[in-house]
Amino acid sequence: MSETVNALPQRSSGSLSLRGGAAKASPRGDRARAQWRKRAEIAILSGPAIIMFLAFVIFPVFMAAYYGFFRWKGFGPPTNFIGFQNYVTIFTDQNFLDALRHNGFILVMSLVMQGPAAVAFALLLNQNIKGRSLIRVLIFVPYVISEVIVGTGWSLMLQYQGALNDLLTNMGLGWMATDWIADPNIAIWTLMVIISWKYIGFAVILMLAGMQGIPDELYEAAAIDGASYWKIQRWITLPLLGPTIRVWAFLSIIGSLQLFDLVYIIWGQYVASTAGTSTMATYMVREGRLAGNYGYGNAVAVVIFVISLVIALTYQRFVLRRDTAGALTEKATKEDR
Amino acid sequence: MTTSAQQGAGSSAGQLANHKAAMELMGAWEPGVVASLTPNGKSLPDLGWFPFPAVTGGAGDPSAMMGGSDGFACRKNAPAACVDFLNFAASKTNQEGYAKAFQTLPANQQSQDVVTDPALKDVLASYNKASYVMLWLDTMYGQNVGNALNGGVVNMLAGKGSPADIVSAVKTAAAKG
Repeated sequence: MSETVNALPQRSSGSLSLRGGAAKASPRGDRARAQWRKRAEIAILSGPAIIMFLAFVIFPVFMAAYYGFFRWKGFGPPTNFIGFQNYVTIFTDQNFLDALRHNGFILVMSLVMQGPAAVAFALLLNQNIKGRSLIRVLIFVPYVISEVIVGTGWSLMLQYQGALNDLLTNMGLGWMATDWIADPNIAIWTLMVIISWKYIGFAVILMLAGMQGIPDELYEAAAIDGASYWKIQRWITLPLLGPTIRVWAFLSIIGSLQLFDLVYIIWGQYVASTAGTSTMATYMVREGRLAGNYGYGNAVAVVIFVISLVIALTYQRFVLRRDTAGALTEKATKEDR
Repeated sequence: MTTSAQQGAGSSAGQLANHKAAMELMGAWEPGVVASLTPNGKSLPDLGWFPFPAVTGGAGDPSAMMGGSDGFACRKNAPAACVDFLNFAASKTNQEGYAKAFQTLPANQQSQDVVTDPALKDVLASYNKASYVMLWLDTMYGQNVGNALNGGVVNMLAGKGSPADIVSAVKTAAAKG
């Protein structure tokens, strides 16, 4: 992961110096033509991406901001301008504040539950143990399965009449049987278990890749110095895994803020807020599309966008900056800013 | 709360069909739905029906009913064939076929003789005697307020809200669109 991040700026800085060298050697006409060709090349290569980005990312953001100022049912052009009324309603609606709280809980608990477990799994799978590749595949399988199948499968197993409660009863643990997804006191924990099960494979693969990138010489030197296994992991693996962990945490945070599919599939359209598992995205779909309040739904989308953007930029600025400064060359870092 | 209504033996209708639940609040489609969920796929012989009991001190008329009293409409500029088609669908023979196929109530009064299921006959008798029939309340309120109403009721049944919360949820929804 971090390797791809490194590779891009280096490549561009490399080609820059090449072009400078070529320009000096050629006569004037050739130089103008080369300049023009360079611009055409940039335009042709980046044009489609820029057009797609503007049309499908930037334009919708502005349209959402526009629609968010209207009370609009989605028919015809919006006419009923209400200023910031939608935003006032959003931040006074207990259901939205609950959804925001659930997102925050999922965000923190995802980091707390998956991070240490993923590092531990990766440490284990980095050893020479029997059946290592099989375990690697098994841990990664949940991540590959589609969300719809995961959601449907878990929701069937966790029903009150479902497989888990049957299993508990048959094992003599009937007192533990409960309504895993409908009980508002435990539903969000059930969701956390499912999310962790689903996404830990991805974290483990990232951590493993990060561990592969740590030079063997360091371990050898530490071993010669007589460091114990745990000391080596604590003082070599963990610090050098830092960039990987921080990038994983970033992806996990973004995923937590945007969580929609699992909740929507398991709890359906209407009961997520009652069960205490609603997220900002399920709130948006329920209050915007299902209720037919398209103006309001757009305002919710803007709020989600702003919250995600602020968190992402803050994280980039204060946490990921260390990695770009440390991992990239000095020159590439300057170009980045 | 997350139990589905009509899909599979674990749904609320399925539990009724398999004698795992005693009763549920449902509409006149119930005998047909339950029949499709019984172990042998035939209609449930001991399925019965009773009107929603009057609430002590309530102002409502116990004989009044709620239901899908909505219908189909033709667009203003629709061709005459639209009316013809609706009349065709509502004709005596077609409604008889519909009621038999789905074990439910026909929309045409003249087709009521084909109803043989005892539970449905009870429903039909009460329906014909009802002081008035009104549209399902959530349908009448529309997607926005209707959904908020349903959500408030679910909250209350789950122990997470009071009747006053239903009213405030409905008011919040009205502010949204």
